[in-house]
Amino acid sequence: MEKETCTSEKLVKFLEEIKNRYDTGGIWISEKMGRRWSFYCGIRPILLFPPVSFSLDERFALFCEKPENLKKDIEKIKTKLKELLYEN
Amino acid sequence: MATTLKSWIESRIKEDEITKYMENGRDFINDEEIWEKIEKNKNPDPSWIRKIFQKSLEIETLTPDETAALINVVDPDLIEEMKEVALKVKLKVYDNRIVTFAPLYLGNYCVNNCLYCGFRKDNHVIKRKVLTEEEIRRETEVLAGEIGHKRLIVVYGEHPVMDVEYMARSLEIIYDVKVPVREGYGQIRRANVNAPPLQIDELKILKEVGIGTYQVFQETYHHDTYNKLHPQGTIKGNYQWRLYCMHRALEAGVDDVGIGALFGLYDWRFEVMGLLYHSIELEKKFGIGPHTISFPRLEPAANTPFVQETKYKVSNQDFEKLILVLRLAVPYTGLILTARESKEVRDRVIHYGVTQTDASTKIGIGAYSDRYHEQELERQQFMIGDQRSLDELIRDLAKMGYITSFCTAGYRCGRTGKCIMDLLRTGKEGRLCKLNAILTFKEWLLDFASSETQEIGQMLIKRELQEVKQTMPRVYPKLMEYYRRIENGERDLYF
Repeated sequence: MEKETCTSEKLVKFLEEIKNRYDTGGIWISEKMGRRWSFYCGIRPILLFPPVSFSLDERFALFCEKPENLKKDIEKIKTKLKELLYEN
Repeated sequence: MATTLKSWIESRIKEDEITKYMENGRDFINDEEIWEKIEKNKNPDPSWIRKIFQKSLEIETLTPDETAALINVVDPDLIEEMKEVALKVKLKVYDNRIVTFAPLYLGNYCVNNCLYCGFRKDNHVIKRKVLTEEEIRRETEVLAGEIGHKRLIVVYGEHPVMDVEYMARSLEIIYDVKVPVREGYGQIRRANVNAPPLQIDELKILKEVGIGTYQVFQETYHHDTYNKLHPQGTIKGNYQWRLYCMHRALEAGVDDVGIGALFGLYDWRFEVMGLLYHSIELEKKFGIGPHTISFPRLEPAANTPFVQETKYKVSNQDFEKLILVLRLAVPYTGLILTARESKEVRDRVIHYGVTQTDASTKIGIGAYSDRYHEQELERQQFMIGDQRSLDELIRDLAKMGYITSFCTAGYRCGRTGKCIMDLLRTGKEGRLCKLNAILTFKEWLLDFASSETQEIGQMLIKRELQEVKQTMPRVYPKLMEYYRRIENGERDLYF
């Protein structure tokens, strides 16, 4: 019955950790649908800054409002996110 | 062909995609209960009504009893208060922006026989047509490249010539069109769809190609009336197949769904309650209410005497009231007012919490690129009442203090579905609306506006920028950076 979207608590918990550790503001994963993006899971916008995206693969991307601190560890984070995304 | 058509019709309804959502074998519209609530809540106490206003202002969905009480308000002073509250609710959720779109009818073939519809299969005065890929491209080029629309509602009939493969392909074509214009380019960024009820697997196909809002109107929520107007044996004759199509859409992963009723088929008070029950049901089952609610009134159609004969025609006064009640009952939802209505009516009710409207509207099949100017009932579903161009509408809205938004930012980053519902309820979306309205309005002024509209629009932008500077100082520098980049030719920048 539930909408086909991410329900992985681990994934959301990890995004919450990233948000706190790197002070990212809203941080969420979206899924590509044709030319547009659809919310998959995560923490909705807080700061109202323009979202910046990091491609995870052909299907998913990570969006966050304040990416400055995150950038240095982005490859590590992307690997972990992909692991969690396809664990379901 | 006859056998093929018959077997296609027979394959459409999947009973298990209805019954799985029902509770104890019943759907969620209880006709007796609705009438009971309307009767029970007559002569509501003004102090209770004011408490209900507060609840709406907190962006909470009203209960059926509260909604019935609002329906029963007759005191002119209280109705005036209702108007003020409706506008406040709208401003809190969406700020002063109005989103514009155009309908794009791709065909008028239909296997159904609805008594009130000009496109019904037995109406032989209608000239039938379905657009080819090339014709869809040409229509989109006019809409995106000449008029300047960024959003469409693409309309399909229920017929195998417009099956889900046709729908998916047409959406791909529409999204593919990119037209150079004065300083930037014209492109459709969000294609919403008004289509017949689909199966879950078909909805997944539309999701894959990037459908915007999936919009299906129940027409009337009243069971007996529904059965009388939609002959049994047709697909549309199945009330529940239609009623549960939004359940199927949300289950298929479609982000946004739009509901509506065709006012004039049955008592407007009942239909408003039906829309509320539908919203509550979706919220309860999926945590996502309707992205939009539409409230079209029945309009004259070719060779369709039902329209003149109906005893449920909605007066202007009742029409105003039903908009107010919907605004307060489902405060987070978008309200769509269409060009079916006259300019005079639209100018008046736009202040009651409307969030979206259409302009430069043509509803004949292939009418945008055909360049015919007169309405031709044989080519269209009904008559439209307001033929203002997008440029004229935008100018008129700007004079009233509304900024036209072409924002599709949610689709650029996935602020959709549950995410946008939360933002709407907390008032955050309204702030994003403001920022994105300024940027997309500026794009439109540069690329499409007449000099008169540019002048009025620029004055409005100046005021809007000043407001952002004062109310959102933290994001103002970024807004200005984006604003200048747009002036220098960049497009599709958003918050």
